[in-house]
Amino acid sequence: MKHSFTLVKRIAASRSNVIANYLDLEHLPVHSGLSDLRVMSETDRAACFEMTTKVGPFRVKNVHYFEFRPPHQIFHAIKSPLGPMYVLSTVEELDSATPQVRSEVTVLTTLDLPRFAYPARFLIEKLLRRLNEKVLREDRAILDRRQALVGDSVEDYLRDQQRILFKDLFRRHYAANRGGERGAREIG
Amino acid sequence: MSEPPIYEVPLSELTPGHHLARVGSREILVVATDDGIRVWDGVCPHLAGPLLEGRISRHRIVCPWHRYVFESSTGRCQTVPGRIWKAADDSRANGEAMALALRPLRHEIQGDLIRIYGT
Repeated sequence: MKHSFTLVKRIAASRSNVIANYLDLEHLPVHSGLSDLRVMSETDRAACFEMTTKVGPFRVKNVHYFEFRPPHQIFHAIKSPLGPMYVLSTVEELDSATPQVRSEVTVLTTLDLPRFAYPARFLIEKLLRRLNEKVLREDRAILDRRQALVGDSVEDYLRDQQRILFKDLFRRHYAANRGGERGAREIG
Repeated sequence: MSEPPIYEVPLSELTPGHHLARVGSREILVVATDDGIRVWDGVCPHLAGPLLEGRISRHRIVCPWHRYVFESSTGRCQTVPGRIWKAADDSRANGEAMALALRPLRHEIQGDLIRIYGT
């Protein structure tokens, strides 16, 4: 039985930095609610990994399917003990004069709950919203600092030895010689 | 005319083994290592993480963002975490080092004072 909800997050960082943050799995130690990440397989735009997530008082080990849909979407499917969860994040660069709202991330979450858990859907939504806000707070520390120190540049994410998911695809859309994120377009 | 220091700190401030400072937008990390005093830029050379908020000892400095480990005396990257990647197809799954090093800040020690310069 399906239950959906939407979160909108406004972030003071460029779209390129927000997308890079999604693809940079190695920053996981920053997040106290996430642990034991292990990437099991990867293609040029999709990956499968397992991870333990702390949702409220519960620690849940889930299997994740994670897909980059260039230039600005991340699709995330999670196999959890309470059934599958689908999360589509869309990152838009805003033409805002206020540096505090450079990007807007719309996160559409759909839970496919078993019948017994459906009555608790709003409680589950509340716990997931809380987790999302916590993860965002922790990510803001990275995004705000990087924006202040390196601006829109994501060249350090593209170094040879740097490991992020789907690096080639990310480079095609966001490397400086592609004109940065304002020049990003659907070429994948 | 010689360049003025951007920061000065007495050696006695290094009692716990290190001293951290923010001067304007500069972040400064002074470490007493087995090989003497080292002064490093506090911005991680990996992805600009805040080294001043990491774990710091006379032997190593650990960035809080990605857990990259740098040698306090040489600034060289010792290990990267890497354990999240599938071991079979990635040498970094074994935690190999990356060709990165902390950025040294020029300094001189005069008597009991460490003078640190911006370049």
